Amino acid sequence: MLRNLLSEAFCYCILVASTCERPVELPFDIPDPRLVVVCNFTGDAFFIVQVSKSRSALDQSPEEYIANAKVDIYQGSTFIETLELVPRGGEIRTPYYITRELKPKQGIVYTIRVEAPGFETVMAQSSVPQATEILSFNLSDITVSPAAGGALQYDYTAEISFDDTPNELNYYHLNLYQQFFAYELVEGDTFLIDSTLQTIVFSNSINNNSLLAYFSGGILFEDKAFLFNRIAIPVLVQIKPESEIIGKVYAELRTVSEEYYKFHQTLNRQQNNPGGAFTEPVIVYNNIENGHGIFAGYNASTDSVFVRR
Amino acid sequence: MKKLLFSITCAFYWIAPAFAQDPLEQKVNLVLKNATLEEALYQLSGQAGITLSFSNDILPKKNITLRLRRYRLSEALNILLRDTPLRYRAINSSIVALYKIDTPKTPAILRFTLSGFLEDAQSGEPLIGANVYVEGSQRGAITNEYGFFSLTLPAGEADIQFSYTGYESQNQRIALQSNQQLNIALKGLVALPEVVVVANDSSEKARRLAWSDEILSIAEVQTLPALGGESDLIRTTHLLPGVQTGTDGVGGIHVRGGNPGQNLILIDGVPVYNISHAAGVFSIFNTSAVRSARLVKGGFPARYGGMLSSVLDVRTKEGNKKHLAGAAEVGALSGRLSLEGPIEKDKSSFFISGRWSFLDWYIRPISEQQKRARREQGSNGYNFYDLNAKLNFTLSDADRIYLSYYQGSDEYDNYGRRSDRLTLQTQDGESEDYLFDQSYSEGLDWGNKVAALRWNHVFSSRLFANTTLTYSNLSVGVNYAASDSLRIASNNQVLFRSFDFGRYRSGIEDVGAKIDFDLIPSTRHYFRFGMGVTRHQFRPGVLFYNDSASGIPDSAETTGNTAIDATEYAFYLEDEYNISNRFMLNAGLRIAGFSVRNRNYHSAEPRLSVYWQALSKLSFKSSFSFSKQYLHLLSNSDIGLPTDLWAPATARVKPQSAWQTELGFDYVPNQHINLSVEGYYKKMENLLSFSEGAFFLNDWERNVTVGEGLSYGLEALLNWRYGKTKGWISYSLSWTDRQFEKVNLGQRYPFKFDRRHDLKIVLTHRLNSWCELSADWVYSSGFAYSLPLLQYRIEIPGVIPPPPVEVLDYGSKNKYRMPYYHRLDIGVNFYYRTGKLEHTANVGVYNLYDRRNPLYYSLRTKYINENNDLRPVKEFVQVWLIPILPSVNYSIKF
Repeated sequence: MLRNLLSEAFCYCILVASTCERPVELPFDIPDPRLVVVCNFTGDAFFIVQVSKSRSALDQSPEEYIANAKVDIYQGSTFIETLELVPRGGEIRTPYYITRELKPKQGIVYTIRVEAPGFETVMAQSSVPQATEILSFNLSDITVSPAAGGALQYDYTAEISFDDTPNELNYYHLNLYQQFFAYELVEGDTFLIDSTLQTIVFSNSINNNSLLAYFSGGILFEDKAFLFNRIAIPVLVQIKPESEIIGKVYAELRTVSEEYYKFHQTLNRQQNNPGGAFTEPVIVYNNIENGHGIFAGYNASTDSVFVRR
Repeated sequence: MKKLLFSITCAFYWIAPAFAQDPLEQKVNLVLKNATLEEALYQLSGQAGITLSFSNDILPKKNITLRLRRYRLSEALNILLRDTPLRYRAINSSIVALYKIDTPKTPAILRFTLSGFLEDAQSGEPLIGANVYVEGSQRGAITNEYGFFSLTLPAGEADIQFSYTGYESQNQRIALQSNQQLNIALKGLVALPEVVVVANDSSEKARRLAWSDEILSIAEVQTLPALGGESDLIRTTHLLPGVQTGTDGVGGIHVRGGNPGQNLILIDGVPVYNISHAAGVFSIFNTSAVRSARLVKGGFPARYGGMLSSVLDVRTKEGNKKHLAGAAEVGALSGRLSLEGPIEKDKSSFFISGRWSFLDWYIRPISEQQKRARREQGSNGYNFYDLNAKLNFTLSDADRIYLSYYQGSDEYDNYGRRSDRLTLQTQDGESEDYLFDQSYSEGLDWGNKVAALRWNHVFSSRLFANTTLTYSNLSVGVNYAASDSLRIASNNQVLFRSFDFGRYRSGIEDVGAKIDFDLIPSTRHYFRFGMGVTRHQFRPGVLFYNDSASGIPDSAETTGNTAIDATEYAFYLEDEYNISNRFMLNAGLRIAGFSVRNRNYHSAEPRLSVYWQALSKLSFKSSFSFSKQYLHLLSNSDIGLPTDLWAPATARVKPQSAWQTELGFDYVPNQHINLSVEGYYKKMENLLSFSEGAFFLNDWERNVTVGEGLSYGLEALLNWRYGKTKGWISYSLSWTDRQFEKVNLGQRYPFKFDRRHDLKIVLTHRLNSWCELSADWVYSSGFAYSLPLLQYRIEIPGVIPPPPVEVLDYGSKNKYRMPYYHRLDIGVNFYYRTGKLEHTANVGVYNLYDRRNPLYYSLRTKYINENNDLRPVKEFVQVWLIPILPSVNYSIKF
């Protein structure tokens, strides 16, 4: 990042005396908008699908969700169910389509087919992989030290062993959630008044070809990133000791389909890309035929442990 | 040597027929006691002006005791050669040759070697690639990198022509009676510098093996129109077929679809790893210091190795051995000074040249003004310089020593400070002043140091050796510091403070030794063999990086980016074999190896080139070469920034390799025109690239991806010269692509500089003795480019929480093409003389019709007033680098 930043600054400096620029009509046709279909599904939960459309890069209008689409799920070539539209509201702030009966099952290949007036029909396929069991989840090297602003900083190493299926390439998304209890002291007694979970976001400095910190939390990795199916990853969290108590750490190990991994990996790399004219772009994976987005399954197993020295 | 031709010569060799007499009838005397046959022949020779010639390895062992008085030579020889397989025959009136009867009926022709050095008559500079040609025959030789030639010819008289582009040819009649050393000095043509591409000389082309090989005349480089009046060697190579730059502002050269890091760039035989100043606007080669340059694009001889795509062999001036000379040049962008002269006349000399840029004079005041407008104190600036120095000593006819040194550096800085005061009303209605202090400082510097100590030694007229100790260093540094603070003015209480700084250093350092031999046993064979070893030290990485605001640990010392030592070695042998006057080949083998972190790589690299003169005006050529490269240049931008990282092959990262094959022909319909057409096919494997979106401060070995590339195409070069007008047209039709596992989702994509069509026209016309016009026009397909033309937003429950993220859709990598690149440059050169001073003034215009060739498109947001609301509007902005740019340049020489 530093190097990119300075290199770009340097280039601009060199160009300052002679560079010229002007707004232009591109000599290329901007492609027509296409359907954007987004669905990450897991076992024993209904399919939730968001349908929107892509826009010109020059378009500043708000995201436009498609409310008149026909969204069907197939098992192989056999039609299973048409999804219902749910207007925006509730936990999901955008309109979405949902199955009322069908919950995906592990190992079955599902096909999604989306039709909407004015757009090409799009299709995609994916399945829910077999869950990988967390064999052990431990914390080690726990230290507590004062931090700026009167906070307390907890440093520890989260060690997770998992039952990776040998001789095949498996993909994972590991999320760690730190629990915090808000408390009040009433006449010397501690009353826990609330509990929150904070997703732990890791630094990009751990990134490599087989592992990367996901921008909204956790790490994405291939099983070849670690020897002996064991992850040891340093974690840093801070609490306000006057109002918070540290609680458990929850580990969610998602065994994800290849589509899930490739989409989120490339999306993550694009989000972290500094951009600019002198930086090579990141092409985001897409398994929606004739459209954009992702239709991908995953499975998960969880475990938790208290942060105790 | 097994076959040592030994001859005994007396008197002179060529006697006119008028004085002819049968030598076998000459009367001779002989007194021998237990003598060998060789001693007997010695006694016979030298009597009555007779030369006996023979090869000493055909003489049988024999003890002879006899006494002869006034015998005919034929009788004496009959006695001596009795019971031997040897016979004799008079070649002419004075030479009698001995031969074996099981050899062909005609006796072995006696041959001698003419060797020596060709140099400039005025300066004593050796002439590289000059021709030594036997009139009326197809025999000839080319001087090597040190001006040395060796030509083995039949004994007797021969008319030898010595010629070199831009110099008056010299003819000499040589009576070759023994091995002979001859140093020739050629006078330069004052009136009209020659065309840049020497290969347009048809006779010369026919005489040398030249596969995708161009020699650049520095005199012509200085004649052509130049950006800002700054003549540039690399920009001139861009005018040749198969050589491309990306666009204005893109550094390096791309040869036949190769990466900039695949070019072996040599200064006096030493590799140099960064050739750009000012992000590629200029190269590091100060043309005042360059003597010659040779670009090889394919059919690589075995003596060259270590890089896949091309060899640019630049030789710097040795220094004037005759008299003190100097030059000064000033243009809008830089100034140059050169001084050279003898230390001891005709024995030793020195050369020193410097170039300094004036860019800082322009950039700093402009940037100060711009920063002031933003209420900042500070500026940015940029400077570069080059220094070339050389010493050379002629110790004897057989020994010369050279010491050459180059140092160049670029420095960029950008700093600024801004303080601001903001007054806010508190809840109780009082005002409170807050002070903001922001400062930043950025620096980027890089530089090369190259040194060579060379010893030329002529072992014999047919064996030449060059021993070199080499040193090369590229160092890149980036410094960054920024601070931000917020204070309450009344009590100076700090509410917020952050301080970030980082220091990045990378580089590569080479120390090496090599020895190269030229062995020229006959006109049919020219052997080159040698060996070399280089110790590399790679220093990629961050020394210190601190970002207190981001939550990243306080000091991120580099992990895995520590220095890496490696050793590279190579042996090679090649033979330029003239099978007949029409058919020649160069066959060679290079054995190379690389040792790094207990991992050893080896390679055997066969090289073969063939040349067939099918007709007097038509010749065909073909070549095959395999090359391995143990170094990788990692770049995230493809625009040749100095921060690109040189990295070695390691246990994780294999060396890259390429094989290339070519087929072409040369057609020379008359003395004015030369047409050369070549087709090529190049397959590259184990190429290395940063994985898409890699975080560059991390361990590079774990953030790179391996792939392959394919290039193929057709190149044509038409040279012409009619009277005072000369020039060339080059055209390339080419394809090149790449495929990496972790780039473009593993799909094959066009290489950034995959230009389908590439046309260049260069023209110079001499109006009179003091005025010359020149022009070049370039017209190329646009380079491949990625643009996000579509976008969409997503949020996924449980994966991507609100707010949604914006996803840019590029389609695929390098999906789009920039508009055609074209540009016309013109120049006028004025030459005049005052006393001993030579003046040259150059007036030129770069990009005459102000073509706006895009460097990139950028998506910008601007705000417009819409019903008293600020509304963001996005638009694509085209950025181009160099508009129409007139220039004036003046130089003076003494």
